[in-house]
Amino acid sequence: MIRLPLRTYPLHHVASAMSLVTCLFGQLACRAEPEPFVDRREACSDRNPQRNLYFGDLHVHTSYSFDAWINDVRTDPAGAYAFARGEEVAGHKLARPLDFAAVTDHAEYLAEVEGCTTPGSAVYDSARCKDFRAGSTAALVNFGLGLDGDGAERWDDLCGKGGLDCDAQAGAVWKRVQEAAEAAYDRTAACRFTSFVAYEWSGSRMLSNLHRNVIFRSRRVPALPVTHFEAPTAGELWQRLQGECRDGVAGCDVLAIPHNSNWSNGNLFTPEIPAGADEAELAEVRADLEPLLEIYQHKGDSECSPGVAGLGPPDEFCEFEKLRALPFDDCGDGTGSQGMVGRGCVSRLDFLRGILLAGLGAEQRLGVNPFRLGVIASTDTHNGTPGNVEEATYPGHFGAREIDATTRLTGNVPAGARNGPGGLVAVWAEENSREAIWDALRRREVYGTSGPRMAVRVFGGWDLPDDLCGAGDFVAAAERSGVPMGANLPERTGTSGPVIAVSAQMDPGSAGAPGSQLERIQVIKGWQDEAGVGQIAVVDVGGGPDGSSVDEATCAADQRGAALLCGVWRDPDFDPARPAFYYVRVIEDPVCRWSWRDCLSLPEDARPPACSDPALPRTIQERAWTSPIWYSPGA
Amino acid sequence: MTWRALLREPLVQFLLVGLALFALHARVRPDPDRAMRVDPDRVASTRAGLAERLGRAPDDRELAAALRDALDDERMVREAVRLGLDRDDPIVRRRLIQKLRLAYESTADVEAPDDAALLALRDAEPARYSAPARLALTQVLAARGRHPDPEAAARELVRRLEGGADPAELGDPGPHARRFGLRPASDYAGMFGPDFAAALSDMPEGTWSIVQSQLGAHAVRIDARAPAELLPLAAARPRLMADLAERRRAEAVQAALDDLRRSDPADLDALPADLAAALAEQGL
Repeated sequence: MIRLPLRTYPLHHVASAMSLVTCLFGQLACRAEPEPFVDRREACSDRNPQRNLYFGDLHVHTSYSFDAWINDVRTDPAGAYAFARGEEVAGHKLARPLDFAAVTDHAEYLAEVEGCTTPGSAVYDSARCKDFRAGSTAALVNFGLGLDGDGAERWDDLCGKGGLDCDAQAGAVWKRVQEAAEAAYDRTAACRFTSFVAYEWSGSRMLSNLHRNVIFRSRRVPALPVTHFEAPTAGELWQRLQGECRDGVAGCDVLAIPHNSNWSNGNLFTPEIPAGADEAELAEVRADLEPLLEIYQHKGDSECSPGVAGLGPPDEFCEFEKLRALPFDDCGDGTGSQGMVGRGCVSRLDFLRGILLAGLGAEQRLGVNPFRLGVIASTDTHNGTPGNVEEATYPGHFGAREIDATTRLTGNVPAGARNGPGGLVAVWAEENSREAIWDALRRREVYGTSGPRMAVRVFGGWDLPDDLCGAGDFVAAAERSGVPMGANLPERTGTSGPVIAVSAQMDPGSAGAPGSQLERIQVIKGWQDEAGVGQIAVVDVGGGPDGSSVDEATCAADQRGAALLCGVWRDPDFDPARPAFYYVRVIEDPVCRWSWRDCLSLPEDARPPACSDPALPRTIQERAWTSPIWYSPGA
Repeated sequence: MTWRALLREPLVQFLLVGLALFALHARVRPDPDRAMRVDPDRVASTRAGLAERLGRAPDDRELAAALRDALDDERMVREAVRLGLDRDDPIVRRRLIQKLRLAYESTADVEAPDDAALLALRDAEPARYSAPARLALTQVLAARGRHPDPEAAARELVRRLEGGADPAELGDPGPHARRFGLRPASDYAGMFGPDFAAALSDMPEGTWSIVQSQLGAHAVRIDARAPAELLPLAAARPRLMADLAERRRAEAVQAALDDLRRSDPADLDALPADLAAALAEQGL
């Protein structure tokens, strides 16, 4: 149960409070803006007011995560950062280093994993630890189930009478997590690499996924991560992050990023309103701490899906990397359970579009939009290999369990051939430093890709020039009167609808591995009609079908798309009385999917059933999804 | 002699490694009877594990089945080892090697090293602990697909830029800025491709050049260059400490492996003498 007690604010906040009167009652939602923390570091030699593009991975598990260790992964956070920076780790190496990364190990069993794997610890010889080290599926299931439900507690046979001092142990491991991030962070003027201190809060209920990655802005972090054991619900997580980071440690700021809504049976985005709590206040807290949604990773896509009502008219591009295949039940206005084992109903609130539409509805009802969500993608690698997103070299999701083509194609933990190599988060920031990248995440000037590094810039405004796609500097011309992705449109001027301008450049690729060309740019608009029903429209605003093809016998691709696409689109059906959002999707020409490459690597008579499953695509059109730009009446 | 200095003595390290391995051996050497013994503790923990998995207390049949499964596992492992099935199994071998490697690594001294050790590491590999060379540039693109001949279009761009035209007014609209401050060449490879970045290394400063990339033809002017700089100790310290710990772990493995090589040498009797000598010379 969530409690929202009257809270008193520390003196330094009250002293700097901008709106002392409204904050007197200490509501969680009403937070005085703290002074932004300025870290001691050399200034970056390239600080670009027009903003640079940086690619990273904000969802990375290492041997500190119970479910990675149990699958024989031994790469630790330092190894994961070394990998992100381009070094060879455990036989893998990135063709292109990342610009930034966050190691997000499951915080819940940091102490238990350490205790179970350190010879001589108080619990090393316990039955549970032996079970864990044996790496049995039963142990994996037990550790996983131990996290389910609001009543989940640390195991007494380890942390209680088992004799392991789990707080001290978790603190020691958390310290190592921080040290690994510090060692990887480039504090010199070259600003080559940024790491974040981070972890995953791994709560679920009836096996509906509620997970969040918690990303800290600087090295100032709480002494212990707030886990599902201390904060069983999202509301309690927000409250404790507020208390233990923002109010508890000078210079600490934090955001939480939900992921795998496609596994949540509608639960991740059905607000829980505890008795006595104020819904609008909770919505503000949520919007404040959770400005982003990770919509793509190893475990599939959460943008939209066929077979779910309320996500718009039929859209061929929604049939993309779906973890759940029809037939399944539509949750309708309800919720289900067991999404994490591929069961239960599928909700429109499992997908970005449905969530954004629900946000518009809440805004009209409450005056605040709890789901003003920017878009990112990451990997969720459990191999300690951030950014390892190439279809051609996918090593599987789970360490030794998926060590070759056959095990990858026949696996079911969690979805075998339906898993994929995951994506990247792209950030438009002034420089490659923690503060600049974190602040860009906070203002949602970010987008996700399914792996490639295409560059996508979006601006919205009322009087953007019509000739932005002609000649000259797109960014300089657009930013004069437009707002970037992730922002709200300014107060309306003129009498027509808003203009959305998009410039996209193909991924130039790396030596020997050229990137794919761009097929089209689409704007996806969401709004509420007069009856209050959410509506979606998908419009091509640049490029289009281009006749590209893939030879399935060899995976050779004949690509006919563009290196550079540009589109300027004015909304022709605009209702100034109702809120709306506009996000952009950029689609690449097709290439072979990893699974089909794996199939081709096996003799025909040795190929598992996945290779002849008509529901498993052989090709993939990789893509980028941007954070939306919103319109609010009276903004 | 301080403790720390003492710990660095090869003989002391050798003895410590030996002690650690002895302890490890005592720990992993199985008690032959224990795995087959069913005592009240084992029944209780099996019951608890089942209860957690099933969500209720197991009945005697389920309890017996779980115990029997574990006993059967042990019976089969013993028989398999007796038959030598572990010897040619790549997965078993990998796990054994992994466990031994971790045991060796845990004998390394990775506690706070002194500055001299860190500086020695930095100076042995200066490129790794340097800020890379960086360059600032301005670029304008004539994109493939937007011009019948991108290179000719880029030549026209250069002509106008040399005549004083503003780079912001020319070229195809792209998502990136036109001007960049001092950045490593690898950043430009990320934005415009490896061919673009490669062309920058010997490009003259201050004048417009044409560079071909995957994207088309770029008019490029290098505005400034900064050389690579060796990092001061303070800036390199976290990374040096991590690298030194890694290195000491690798050295611990290497030292143990050297001992193993001495005690378990390769059998070269089947080789012609000159080949055996040549290989032995290289170390086997």
